[in-house]
Amino acid sequence: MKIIRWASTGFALAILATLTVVVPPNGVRAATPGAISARTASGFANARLPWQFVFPRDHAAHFGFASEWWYYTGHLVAADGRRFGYELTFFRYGLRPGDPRPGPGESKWRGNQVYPAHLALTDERGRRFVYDERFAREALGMGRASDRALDVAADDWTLHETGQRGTPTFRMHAASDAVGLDLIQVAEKPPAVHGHDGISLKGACASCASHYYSMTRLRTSGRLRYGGRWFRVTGTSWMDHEFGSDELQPDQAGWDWFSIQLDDRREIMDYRLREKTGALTPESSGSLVDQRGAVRYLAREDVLVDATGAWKSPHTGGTYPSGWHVRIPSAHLDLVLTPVLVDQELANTTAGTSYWEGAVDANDAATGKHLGVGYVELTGYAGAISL
Amino acid sequence: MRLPPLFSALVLGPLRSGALRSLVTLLAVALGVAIGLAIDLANATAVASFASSVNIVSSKVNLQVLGVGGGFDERTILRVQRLPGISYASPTIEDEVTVGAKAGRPFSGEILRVLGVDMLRPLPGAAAAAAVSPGATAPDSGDTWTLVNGHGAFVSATTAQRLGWRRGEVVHAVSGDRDVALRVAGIIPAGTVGVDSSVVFVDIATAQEIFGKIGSLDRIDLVVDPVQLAAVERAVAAVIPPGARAIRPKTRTDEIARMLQSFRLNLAALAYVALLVGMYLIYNTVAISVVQRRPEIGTVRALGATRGAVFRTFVAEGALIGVLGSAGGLVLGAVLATLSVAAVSSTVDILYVASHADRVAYDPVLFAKAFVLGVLASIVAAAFPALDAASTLPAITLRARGFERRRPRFAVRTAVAGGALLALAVPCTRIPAIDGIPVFGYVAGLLIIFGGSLCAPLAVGALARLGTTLAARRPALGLAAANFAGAPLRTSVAVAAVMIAIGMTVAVAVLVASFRITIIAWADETLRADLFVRPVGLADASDDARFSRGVAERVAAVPGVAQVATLREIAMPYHGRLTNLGATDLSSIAEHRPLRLLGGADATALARSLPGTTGVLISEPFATKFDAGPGDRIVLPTPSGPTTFTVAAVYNDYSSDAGVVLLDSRTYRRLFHDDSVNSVAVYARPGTDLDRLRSAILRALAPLRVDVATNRELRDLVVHVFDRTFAITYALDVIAIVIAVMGVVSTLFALVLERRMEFGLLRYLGVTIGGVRSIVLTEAAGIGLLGGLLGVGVGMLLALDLIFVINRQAFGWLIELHVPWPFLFETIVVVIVAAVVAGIYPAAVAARIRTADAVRSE
Repeated sequence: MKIIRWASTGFALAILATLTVVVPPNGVRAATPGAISARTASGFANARLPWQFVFPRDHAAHFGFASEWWYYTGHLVAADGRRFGYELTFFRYGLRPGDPRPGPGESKWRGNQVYPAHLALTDERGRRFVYDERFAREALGMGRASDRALDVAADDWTLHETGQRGTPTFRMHAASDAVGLDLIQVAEKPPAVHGHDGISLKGACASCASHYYSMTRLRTSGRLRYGGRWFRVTGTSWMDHEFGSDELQPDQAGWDWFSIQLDDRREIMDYRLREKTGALTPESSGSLVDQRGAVRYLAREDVLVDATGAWKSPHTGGTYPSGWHVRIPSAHLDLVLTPVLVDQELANTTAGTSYWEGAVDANDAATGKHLGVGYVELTGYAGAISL
Repeated sequence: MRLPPLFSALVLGPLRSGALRSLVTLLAVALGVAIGLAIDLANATAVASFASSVNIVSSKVNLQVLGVGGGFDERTILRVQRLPGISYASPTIEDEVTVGAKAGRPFSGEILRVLGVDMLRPLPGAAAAAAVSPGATAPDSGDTWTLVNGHGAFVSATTAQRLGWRRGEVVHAVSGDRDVALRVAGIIPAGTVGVDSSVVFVDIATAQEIFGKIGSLDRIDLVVDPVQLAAVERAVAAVIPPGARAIRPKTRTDEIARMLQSFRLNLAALAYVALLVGMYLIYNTVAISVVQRRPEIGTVRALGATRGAVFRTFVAEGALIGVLGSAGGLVLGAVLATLSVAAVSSTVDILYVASHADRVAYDPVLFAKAFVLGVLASIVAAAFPALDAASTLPAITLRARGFERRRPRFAVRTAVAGGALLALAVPCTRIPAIDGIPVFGYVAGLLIIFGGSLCAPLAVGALARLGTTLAARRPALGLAAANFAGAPLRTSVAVAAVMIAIGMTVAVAVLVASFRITIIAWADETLRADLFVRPVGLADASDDARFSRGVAERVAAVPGVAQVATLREIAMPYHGRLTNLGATDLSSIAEHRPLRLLGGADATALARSLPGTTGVLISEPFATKFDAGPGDRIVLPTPSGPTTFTVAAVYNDYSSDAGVVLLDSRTYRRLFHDDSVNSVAVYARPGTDLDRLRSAILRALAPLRVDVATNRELRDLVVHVFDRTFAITYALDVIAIVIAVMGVVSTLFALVLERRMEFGLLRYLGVTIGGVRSIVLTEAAGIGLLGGLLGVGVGMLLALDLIFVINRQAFGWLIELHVPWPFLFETIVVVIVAAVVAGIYPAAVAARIRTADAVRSE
């Protein structure tokens, strides 16, 4: 799960006041599925209703939902052996349900959608982490998405899907002054849908859910500009696509999210929602994808995670966990995750919020043997996530 | 160095004993400094408010793309924001709405500046970000969608309170001639850093719609990597449309500051005349101190004090008065500034551009300047009597105390020097302005003031002789005349102080009267149309108050209308300062002759040759400021690229001292792609009932929010605007006179104290209390009479300097001299009365002197 919410999108603070989750009365927490309406409090489509994913249609945008993101993380190797981790994310936020367009005589700056985007690069050899962002509103084609095919743009950063049926292929382009990416991603496995019935629960409230799938193994090639040079790169990426409305509750403090791509071609996703009390919500869960792409649901109790270290950010003063011991007994997995660089924090994005999103190595806890790579996302450690 | 004991003996003692007089002097210095400071602050605030209009978007903005006329294509931002080195690009529209405007009431509208920015993504460090901070928005304040798509607006707490606007409420304002509705989406808390309380924030989409600027931007604010600024500036310049400029914010502020330069300088010069009057008081105070202490000075000199020590001691007295008075002046000035800011900014609003200076910009540099000027002026003023003190011979103790040293032919010598200074003023008036500043015009003014002052002793002597001659019938007159003759220097200084104050009043009065008559004549001659369609509730047609498309055509179609002429005016940068570009139908200038062409230019020929071409007319101030004339070429930025215009003729104009370049409407529309207009002049068919025609036009334009003014009303408005403009100069006059009257009090008081024994003897010899009183009052009247007469003389000379040199050079105005004779006579009468009133208290003191005491002391 990748819920870098509006809090960290560079979204104007004004929006926070209005897109904030409406706190349901206590009685609603125990609401039965039968009581769930098709619309959330803000009038958007409710992701607590079952969703039948259809591809490639569902790679595209879903304007009925308030928020949506396409999240790419991956590990790249250049021809000279240099290794890079990257994150490229496109977000979409709807101000109101539906997708009205400016009419005649109206300003083209009117619009109902905003498109922030984040790009981060981890240079493993150079021990550097660089990031940049874009923020585009739906004006003059600066920010756009389509509900027919995956075709998203945030200013000059673009993402679209060009694959044939069965082999999704994604092309992306993002460049800032410091770093540039031009990548093609070919799916090696089918989409892995998380949760049950297409519902990925995020809490007990009547809208606390999203529709969420991952492309867990994308064969990646292309080029990368960094330090004024272009590198030809190849590697493996992970894509998350998630959409929902009013899905988080104010009593949540943040979350830890893990994606692990094992060398044995299995993949693990696990999200752990922390309440302000420090407890994990019962809805915290994950998925285990086997070699053929079959998805097994992992309940909160199926995954045991212990932080093995901590890192205090010099940028924000926040203290993040750094390094983990991850056990999934039912899959005979006992892993140690180690950040390739401790500082992979995107500090003070446009709206002033910060999060940690970084490449990690996965090794066997007992033998130390390299078992794979992963990406970890940590939110709510440097200031509130502004719910 | 024996300064401290010397200072204590010679200065502090007398200062204490003459506490009242010292206080008056302190107050005069304080007033002088305060007025100068207040005007400086008001001027700075007017300029700073423009600077803040740049900074309001973000203090980090270090480059701007600025359009001319109707802005530029909004898609420009796509090319600009992708250039390397630019971290932020904010689309911006800056415009105005009027609230509370009532039809037919030109000053009823309050102007609010509206800033349209990308509210979804405010610039880093942006005021707009503060505007949309969680404190400003409550969940009930309407959502972000409303902000973008529903004309939501953020207003400051101050504005909301003043206008009674509440959050969530739909409020109405006028933009140009249209009603616009805004929903108050949030109130910006008072004191939010960087937010000018007169600014209303809306989203760029809302701004485009309410101002009819769909598809265009007024500017783009950029945050650029400072290291790459120069390179980025060039790169931006290469991708923006013709007519748009990539400039640093300071450039714009400088252009505005330069546009206001003459106005600010003239006001400051007038303000510091008050300090000049204060200088005479300090001179007087120190001079009296020297005169009174002369025996002591002689003693300390005999005891070994050097001339230098004595000099320094009395200079220190001046400095002490200067420091104390100036310190008080700073406090007073800060208070006065709040008043003068309102006056100055309202003038700037009317004459130049909307400034919205609602808070005084308390610039410490200006405080320091006022303080230093006050202290320096005090020291300089004290230096003359201090020199006199230093020249005291050690043996002087034998001389009676309290009397001035008589210098042979003193009056004649000073008068000769004064005449020389006056003569020197003549060549000064011939020297042209330096960089637009009439430096030598001001020098001539100072020469006139000092030259006139030096003539005072001669006049005092003459009056004393006249008084003696007439004394046969009036003994009081004789005694007063004797006192005059006995203290020519101090009397002269008091006379000079009155003279300067009256001189300044007379000069300004003559200038204003002349200017007023000139303007009325100009308005009568050039305002030829019968009716004028104008934005509702505003005093002027600001270039932001545009009419809807087709208004002129609709007016022209009204039965009874023979012809309409439109005017469009925009701000135009030229040679580093802002000037104006006007567009009107030049083919009609022959028929109605709304322009006073200079240099024998032929309206008929111009009306035939200019329309549709790049031939332009320039106003006289433009010609003066930029040294341009017929046949010269002027290159101006236009959306069609830099265009060369040829000056066909110069015309006489008083509408803007920033200058106007007037071109034909057709040419303007073609080059600027802008068909909006700011006002429409209507020529009626002969015999048409104008009241009915006015109603018919209003009906034809309904529901547009416009005023239709008659020719008479517009002329009255011109005069009204003029009078408002000069209101502040009257206030400055009054203060200078108050200071001068203080000088009269101070001088008379000193003379009375010195003559305690004399008055005592007079009482002893049988002169009544009334007799003593009338002696003092006669002296007061004498000072008033001389000050008034000399003041009128000096004032007339200053008026000539103001009208024919300073205004001509600074503003380019050609003003005809008109002397308001009745006012001048009134002034002399008033000043004599004021002087006599000033003499009442000293007279009362003189009358209280007890005979026995005075005689005993003798």
